[in-house]
Amino acid sequence: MRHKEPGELDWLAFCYVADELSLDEAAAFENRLADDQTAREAVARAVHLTCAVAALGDEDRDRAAPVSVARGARRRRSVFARLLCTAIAAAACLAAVLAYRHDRGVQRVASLRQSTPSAQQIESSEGSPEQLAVIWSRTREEWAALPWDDWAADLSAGAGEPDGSPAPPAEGAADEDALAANLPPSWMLAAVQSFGGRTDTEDGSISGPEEN
Amino acid sequence: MSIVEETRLDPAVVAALYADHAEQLRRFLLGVLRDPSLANDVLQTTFAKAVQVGHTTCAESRKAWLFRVAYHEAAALRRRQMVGARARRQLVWSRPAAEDSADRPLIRCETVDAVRKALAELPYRQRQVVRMRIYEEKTFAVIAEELGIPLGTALARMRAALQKLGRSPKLRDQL
Repeated sequence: MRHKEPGELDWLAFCYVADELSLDEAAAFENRLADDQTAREAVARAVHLTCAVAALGDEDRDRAAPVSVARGARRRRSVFARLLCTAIAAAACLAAVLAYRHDRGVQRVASLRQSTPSAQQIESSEGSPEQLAVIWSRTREEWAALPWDDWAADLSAGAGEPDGSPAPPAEGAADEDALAANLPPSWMLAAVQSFGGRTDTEDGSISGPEEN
Repeated sequence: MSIVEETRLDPAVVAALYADHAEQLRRFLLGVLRDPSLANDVLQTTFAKAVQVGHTTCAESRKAWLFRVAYHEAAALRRRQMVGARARRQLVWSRPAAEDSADRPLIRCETVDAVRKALAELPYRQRQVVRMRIYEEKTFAVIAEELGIPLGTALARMRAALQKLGRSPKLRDQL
C-alpha cells in the first residue's frame, strides 16, 4: 500500500520518528514497516535529516560557547587594560601639572629677585627690612624739613624761669604758640633723634638697613 | 568445504552487503528503537543472521530482506525489554560521537554542511518551526502555542520545510 504522494510518506515517517503520531497511528505505521520497504527507507531518510539538523544545532552551540568565553575573557582583559591606561594617563597628567606649577613658582621667585622692587612692592611685602628702610628714608626726608631743633629747645625750656615765674614771652611768642600746638609726641622725637644719630651720614642717606 | 560452510553466504558478499546498506539500516533501526546502542546491537544481529541464512535469499531482494529481518529483531527486542511505549519513543537526536561507530559516523560533515545551506534557503517561518522542533525538541502543540498559531499551521510549516529539504539538490546526494 502506497500513498499517492511520496512527500506524504516522508511526512508520515517524520511524524512517526518524532513521536507525533497517536498510539493507533503509530501501531498502524509499524505494521506497515513490516512489509513496506519504501516506508522503511522513508524512516531512514527522516532519521538522517533530523539528525543532520540536530547536529547543525549542536555545532552552532559549541561554536558559540568558546567564542563567548573567549570574548568574555578578551572583554575582561580589554577593560582591565583600558583602566590601567586611564590610571597611567591620569598619573602622568597629575605629574605634569605638578611639575608645571613648581616650575612656574621657581620662575616667579627668580623674577622677583631679579627685578628692582618698587616702594609699593616693598610696602606690600610685610615686615621686610627693605620695606622699613624705604619708609624711614622717606619719613626722614619729610621730617627733616620740620624744625625739630626748635621743638627740642622748647621742650627743654618748657619748665620756665628758675624762680618759677613764667618766662616772659620771647619775641615771636604767637608763632611759637602755633608751633607748640603742632609738636609731635616726645616718644616720636626721641625715636627719630636716636635713629638719626645712628644712621645719619653727611649726605643724609641711610648707611644700612635698620635692624628690628 | 563443509556442508555448513557451503550454506553460508560468502564473507565477501556479506562485507559488500554491510558496506552498501549498514548505514541506512542503522538509521532505520534508530527510528524504530530510538536508542543508538540498541540499534547497533540489532544491526549486528541482523548481519549475523545474514551470514547464517542469507544464502536462502536472492541477490535482488537481499536489501529488503535485511530491513525486514532488522525490523522484526527490533520489535522482538522491544517486547523483551518491556520498555514503556512513550519512554521508548523519546529519541535523543544529538548523541555523543563515542556511541557511533568510529568508521561509520551517523552523520557526516558533508551532510551537516549541506543541511546548513539548505536550511538557509528556507523561509524564516519554516526555519523557525524546524529549529523549535528539532533543536529545542518541542512538540508541535507547544510550538503552536508559543508562536500563537494553530496546530495545523505549525504542522504545515514543518511539512513544507521537510519537502523543500528533501528536494534540495544539496541534500539529495546526502540522504
